[in-house]
Amino acid sequence: MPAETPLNRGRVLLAVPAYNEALTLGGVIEQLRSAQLDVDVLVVNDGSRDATEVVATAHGVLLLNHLCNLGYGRATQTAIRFAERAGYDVLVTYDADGQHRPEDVRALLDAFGAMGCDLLIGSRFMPGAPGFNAPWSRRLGMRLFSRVVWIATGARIHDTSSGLRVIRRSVFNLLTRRLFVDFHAEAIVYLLGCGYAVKEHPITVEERRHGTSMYGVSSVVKYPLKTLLLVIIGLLEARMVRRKVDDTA
Amino acid sequence: MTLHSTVLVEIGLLVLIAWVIHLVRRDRLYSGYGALLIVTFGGAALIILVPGLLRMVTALMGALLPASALMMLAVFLILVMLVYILSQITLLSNRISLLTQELALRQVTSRRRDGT
Repeated sequence: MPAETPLNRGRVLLAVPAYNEALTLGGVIEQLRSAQLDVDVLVVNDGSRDATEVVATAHGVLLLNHLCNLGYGRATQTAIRFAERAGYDVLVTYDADGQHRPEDVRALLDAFGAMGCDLLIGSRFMPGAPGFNAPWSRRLGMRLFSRVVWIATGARIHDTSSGLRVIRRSVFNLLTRRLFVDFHAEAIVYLLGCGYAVKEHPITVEERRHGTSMYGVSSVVKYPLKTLLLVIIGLLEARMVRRKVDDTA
Repeated sequence: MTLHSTVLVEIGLLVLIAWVIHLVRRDRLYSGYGALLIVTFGGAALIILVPGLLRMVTALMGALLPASALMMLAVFLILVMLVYILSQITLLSNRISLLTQELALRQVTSRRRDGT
């Protein structure tokens, strides 16, 4: 099931899921525009209570409005559904908090074309990446889930929670069929388990300038438990998907 | 169980059944949940009312006293209902999410069609 046309990347949609990011969103869109990436930019306004919608409209980008806040995973899923229906070949997910750099998108798209994988993760921690100054609890969680993915699939993914990813059309349908709460380790394990290719490419991530992370204090306990459960379920479901594919072949 | 406690519990269960019927009639409780609750409360009322049944349940559960057996049964039923209710909430939440996503997708499609 790996990607068929590695060098022809086709139409690209860059999706920015945004929740109360009015302070940074304008700058992010401007940066993306000035980088002339040859991509369509879509903002998924996930029920923001600030002026996120106004900012996105003022900048003339494609805008999808969730009437209420559904969370990061659902916002990403809406972007995937849009990309699938509008006939895009590749989807790039990009954070609205200004932590990502447009030049990394260009490098990721080039690497994506050359590598021929189905999901390419912009990695902050793989060898060659400058690293990222996260709180100890998050660093511990990231290491833990990198290990979990390794044990579950045998693949070495250093950064399971990066928001900068390139997704090929071949997995759009698979990623909208189930709910992936954060599109992190659970989605990676599921795709790898189904036989798709997931790889990493180093990126640089800047410090957040405004707002707060979507992970609060309660996430320290909730996130690992929730993700671990979803990883196990994802692994089991991937086996069933593969068995069905083998049976029909 | 003493006659006093049996009467009290039976009255309590009958009040609960009446409340459930009232809620279903007013469309404030889904009839499926209503049926489930009435069967549960009715079953409990029957076990308490028929002495032979209560002794059998106590022996089946390995409890020393009928009150302990009833307590164990009640806790188990509450846990089953808790899981069921949480699963129904999740189902509703998923439906709301799907509707919200679909609405967002349809709005952008109509905006593009209108050229706005």
